[in-house]
Amino acid sequence: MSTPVRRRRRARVQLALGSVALLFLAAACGSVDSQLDAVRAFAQSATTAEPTFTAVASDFYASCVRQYNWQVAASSDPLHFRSLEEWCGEGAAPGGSQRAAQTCGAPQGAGQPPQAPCTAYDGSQQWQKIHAVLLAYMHALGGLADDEGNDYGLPKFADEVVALNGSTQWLGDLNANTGHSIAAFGKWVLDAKFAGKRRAALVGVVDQADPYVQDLTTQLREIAQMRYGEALRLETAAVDNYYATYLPRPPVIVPLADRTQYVRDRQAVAARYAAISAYTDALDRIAKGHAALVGVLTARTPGNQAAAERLVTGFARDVAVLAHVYGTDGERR
Amino acid sequence: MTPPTGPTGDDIVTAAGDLQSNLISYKSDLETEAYALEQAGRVDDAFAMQALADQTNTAQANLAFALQQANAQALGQDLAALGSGDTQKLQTVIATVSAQTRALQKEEAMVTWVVNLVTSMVGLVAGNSLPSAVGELWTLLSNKPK
Repeated sequence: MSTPVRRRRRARVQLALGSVALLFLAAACGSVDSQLDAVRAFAQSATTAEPTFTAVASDFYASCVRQYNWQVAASSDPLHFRSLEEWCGEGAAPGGSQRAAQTCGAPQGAGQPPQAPCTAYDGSQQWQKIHAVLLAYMHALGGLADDEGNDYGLPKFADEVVALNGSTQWLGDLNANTGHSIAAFGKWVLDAKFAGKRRAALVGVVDQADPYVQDLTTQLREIAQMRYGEALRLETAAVDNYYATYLPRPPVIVPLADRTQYVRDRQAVAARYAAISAYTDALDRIAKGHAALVGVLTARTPGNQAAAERLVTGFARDVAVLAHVYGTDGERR
Repeated sequence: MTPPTGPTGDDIVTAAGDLQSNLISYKSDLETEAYALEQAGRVDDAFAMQALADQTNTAQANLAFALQQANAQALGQDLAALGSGDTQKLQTVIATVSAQTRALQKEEAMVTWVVNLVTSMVGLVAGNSLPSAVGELWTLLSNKPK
């Protein structure tokens, strides 16, 4: 076989091998991209949840204040009733001075001074701090998955090479379009390289954090059901107690306006009570979404990508319910 | 032998909640009765009945206060346990994630810097204005990502 023929054949083989390698690279890059997209969508849900989660935690204190107001209104001696500070703790309520919430409830070691009792205000603030950590973690995952649209300065590099080639012709017939195609290819290769690195870092993180995320979300669900549920039950009782005092006695017929107001006041609490399930569902989706991410990134459970996307959609629905109840959607209640 | 089990904290809270409802209902009955006595012209009896209703209301308010305090305390304890456990561990993970993100951003900045450096050298060879090309190169060299 002549040398030029052998050279041409080698060139064809090299071209074929190069194409196959590029296809593999493209497939790998596409897959990593969609994995990072799943992480970004998960992180995005944290941004959506932030105001509503804050509203739920704040409402633990707000519910206490409302309960207090109903109790004062129903009291036969409102001037000598306990203070709001004693009932709910000092907070941002009108007339109340601001103070930092104390960290309370931690078990005390021997020889340590006893802690002051936890108030509703302290609890509300501590609850928000726990939310902040959970959501900060989700944001941090998004930060690690995000490439911030870096072009690595390649377009400018292509321009300079094309300009240089215009005078030297070192690279033959190189025009601006070809130069930019090469720059785009270079950016794609670098993106793929960094996407691979981001994915590798994320695998370790989500796997390590998953037990904490699962436990944290489970505990927060229980806290909402038990403690916030009890706060709203106490508020409902305070509403009932007030109307038990101030609705007219039989045989006087209760005016329609009073009855309507009673129903409205009770419904306002009932709506918050119902919103607990939207909150617990949102937490549940964070837990399941995180577990699905572990599956997507570690490829332990194929098909989790679709599950993760469904969870993110469901999450948006839960958050919309919460936003409506707590007025964080900008609409007046 | 299995030791006898007493009521749990939740049982006590439920019972106290029932008691609060009963007190509200009882107070409502007393006030209705006081109103009926007043309508019947038995003013002294009505006053006595109303005083009883007020006492019941005070008892109800004291119970509500105690339940409110217990609930806030329980929430504080639950959250303190979470804060010293999973939340603290998650904060450690966040620190790791932030460090990894910074490391990756630094690496990307370094790649960009190298590309810019080469671009600047190409510009120099291509015959760009010498002072501006040297100036650009100098700026780049003195701004190497750390």
